[in-house]
Amino acid sequence: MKKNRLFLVLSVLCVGIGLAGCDDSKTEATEDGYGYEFTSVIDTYIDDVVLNTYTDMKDKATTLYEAVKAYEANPSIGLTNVCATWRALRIPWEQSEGFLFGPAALLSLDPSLDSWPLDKTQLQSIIDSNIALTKDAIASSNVHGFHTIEYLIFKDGSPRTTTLSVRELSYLVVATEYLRNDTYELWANWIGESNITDSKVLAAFAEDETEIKYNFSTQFKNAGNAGSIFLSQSDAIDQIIDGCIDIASEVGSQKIGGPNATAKKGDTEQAVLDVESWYSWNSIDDYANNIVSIRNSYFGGRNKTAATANANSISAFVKSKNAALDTEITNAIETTINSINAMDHPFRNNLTGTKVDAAIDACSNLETILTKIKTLKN
Amino acid sequence: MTNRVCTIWLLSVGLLLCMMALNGCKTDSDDIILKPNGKAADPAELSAGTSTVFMTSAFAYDTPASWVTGSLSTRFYSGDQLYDNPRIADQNDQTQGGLGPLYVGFSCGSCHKNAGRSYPTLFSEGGSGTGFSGQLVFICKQNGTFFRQYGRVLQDQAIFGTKAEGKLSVTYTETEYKFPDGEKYALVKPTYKITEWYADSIAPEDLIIDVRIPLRHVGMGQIMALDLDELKKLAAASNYPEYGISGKMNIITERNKSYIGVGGNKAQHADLTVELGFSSDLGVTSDRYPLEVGYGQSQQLGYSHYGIQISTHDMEDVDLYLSSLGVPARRNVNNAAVKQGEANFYAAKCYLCHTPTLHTRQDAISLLNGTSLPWLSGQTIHPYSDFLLHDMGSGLDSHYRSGLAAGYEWRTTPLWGIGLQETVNGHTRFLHDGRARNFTEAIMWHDGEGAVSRELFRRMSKDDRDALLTFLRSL
Repeated sequence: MKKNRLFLVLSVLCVGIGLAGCDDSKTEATEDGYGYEFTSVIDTYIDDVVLNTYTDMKDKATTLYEAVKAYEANPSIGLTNVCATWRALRIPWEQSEGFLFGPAALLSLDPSLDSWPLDKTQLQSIIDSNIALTKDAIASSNVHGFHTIEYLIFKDGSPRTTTLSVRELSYLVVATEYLRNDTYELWANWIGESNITDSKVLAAFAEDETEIKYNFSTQFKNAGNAGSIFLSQSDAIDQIIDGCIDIASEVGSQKIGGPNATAKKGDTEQAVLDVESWYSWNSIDDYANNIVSIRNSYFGGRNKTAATANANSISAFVKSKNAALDTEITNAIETTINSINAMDHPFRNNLTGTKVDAAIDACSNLETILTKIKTLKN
Repeated sequence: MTNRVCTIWLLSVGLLLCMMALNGCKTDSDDIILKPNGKAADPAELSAGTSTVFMTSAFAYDTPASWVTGSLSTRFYSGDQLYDNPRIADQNDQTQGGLGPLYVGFSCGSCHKNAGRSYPTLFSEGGSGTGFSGQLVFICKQNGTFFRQYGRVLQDQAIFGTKAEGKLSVTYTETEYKFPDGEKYALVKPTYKITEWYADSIAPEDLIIDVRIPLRHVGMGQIMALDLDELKKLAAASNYPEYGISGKMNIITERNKSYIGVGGNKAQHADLTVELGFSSDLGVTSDRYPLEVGYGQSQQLGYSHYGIQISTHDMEDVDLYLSSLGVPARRNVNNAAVKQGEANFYAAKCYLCHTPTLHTRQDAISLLNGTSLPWLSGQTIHPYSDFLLHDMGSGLDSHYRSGLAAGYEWRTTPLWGIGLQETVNGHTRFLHDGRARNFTEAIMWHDGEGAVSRELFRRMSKDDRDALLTFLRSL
């Protein structure tokens, strides 16, 4: 039997301590909760972080679509504005990756929006064909989302200067509409169908006959009550924390760590292909915004910091229980963002080195430190 | 997919030891496993010994066991990426490509989101999905043999320029029933149909269709590490004529060797089917399955010469990822309603097949490329399954045979982690084809060897039935 060495040590110690008079009683049937009233913390998280981010994303997706339509009407204006609006939309999306649960996962909107790697083979086959370019057509081959659009509008980190072919342009328009509607669906499934008033969203849903399945905000706000998947408010808080830990891990071990490991093995060509957002050279901004997503979740609002933290935030809760841990988390978040931003740009051309190692280590450290919040449970 | 695990906090350990010295307590196990808050876990919480993870969130199935560190961790996350990232249609790309030309899903994770059970397109789209399908469709002739031009699984998706083998659609008939106390429930019975056949259309009367929604990938490593001698003894002892229960093992033969099947709805697999999954589900060829699944079809001629599309090393990373996932701890094990429900679970004889406790064998398991995982050995585990086949009655008879398993025989579904399925995947669809929309319906579909348990459940008071469901949600 393979045993963890510490477990073995504990077993020996238990015997050595002397175990007399045992009553075989079990732990009391209380939940392993935090013993904290989280109603305001959860409300703040939903309203100021999640809905704020997804509303921003919805609006910026509308802007991107309008920019693409303007380009379609007059290609001579070039793709500069389209590319700028793509980068602008990328910010709230990456800042939402600290909460890749709920509709993003349950409705497979995450892979629909941000599938990587890009299937250039099928993209080119479809462009080269003569099929009608409709949303249904691109859905059946799974070639849509941010990186399809990125590939069509960027070249080596800058707006593409060559003119799009007629078919490429048609594909760009339909793929942008598809992505825009995905962001609408994501937002709508957090606020619930009855709360949708945006006429552009309503028009898109009417055209696609989109059904809104969730009002996922209520799952959090009703945590601990009948009808919520969260049996307690502590479970909802754990979901928020686990979302943050998950993205810290993914940025360090996969988004940065994956290409880094491949490059270290000497396969630089493949390593470059593994780098997400390399057509636009937006990778480092993507990764930093992923950690901003953690910062927003922790401090209870977008672009909040330790100095401006919401009084109803996870940070405030942690501080009330263990101020040193709050400081440790605050420092780890800032260190991670700074380490990622310190990597040489573009990441695709600078996949190894001490700066990259530092960013990977910072993500791993942040992941470990965030896990400590769970030590505050009763 | 992170290393958010039962971290060991030395300070808490010291405190615990002091408390134990003062109180003179002992635990049921010679190992003490600490929860994130530093308290010793109740043995009933430890679903999989040292591989137990204390998680209640949407990532509860998709978290490494605490022993996944260092180089093992690197390979775990490599496997995680290979599992989640879509394969692309570039047939020459061994790292990311090889999708299709025929396939079902574009990644393992497309059907097993967060290592769970994605909501199948069977329900969201009424059958085959647009771009991928969330279920597998097994087909054969009425005499059990396969159709030459279609094979074992209907690949109902295809890359651009190729035609899928066919498309599945489903209709349901709903029948309402009442418990003796008047509470209503309903069961829906599916009828499957395949249209848009790639080649010759097959008349429904000549065809057997067996639809399976994705399995939860909970405890896969532990299942591979099961003490097979214990299973043999269980099979020998599984003979309860008073309850009509008699389980049997599925024995499968591959390459002239016989194996005890433990994986899959029919216990039809002896391994984690990583190679089979890449081949049959994604259309990615490997050393073990070098031919495309549509090999021989006229439209496949252009795809027959690309060779191996995923390395054995990469597939072993996926094998390692699946085998190293933690198993979520049980929750609220001392809650009064949970305790009552547990008693009712025993009273209804559910435990005779949903065996609460088993053990993993002493020797280390080896992955598909020879890597050893000793951490899975010698563990007391709580899968709530005997991994044996049982007659589940005519209502669940798909008529599709698999090894020794007749169409009406199904492997006892392991229940560990099942209480978190709604959190992880957003739905409570159960049974092989997801026809049960909640726990109650799943229980009420039990027939054959499960009939006595179903009847005992049916006769319980509403409070007792609810308590049993509360117990299931604690798993």
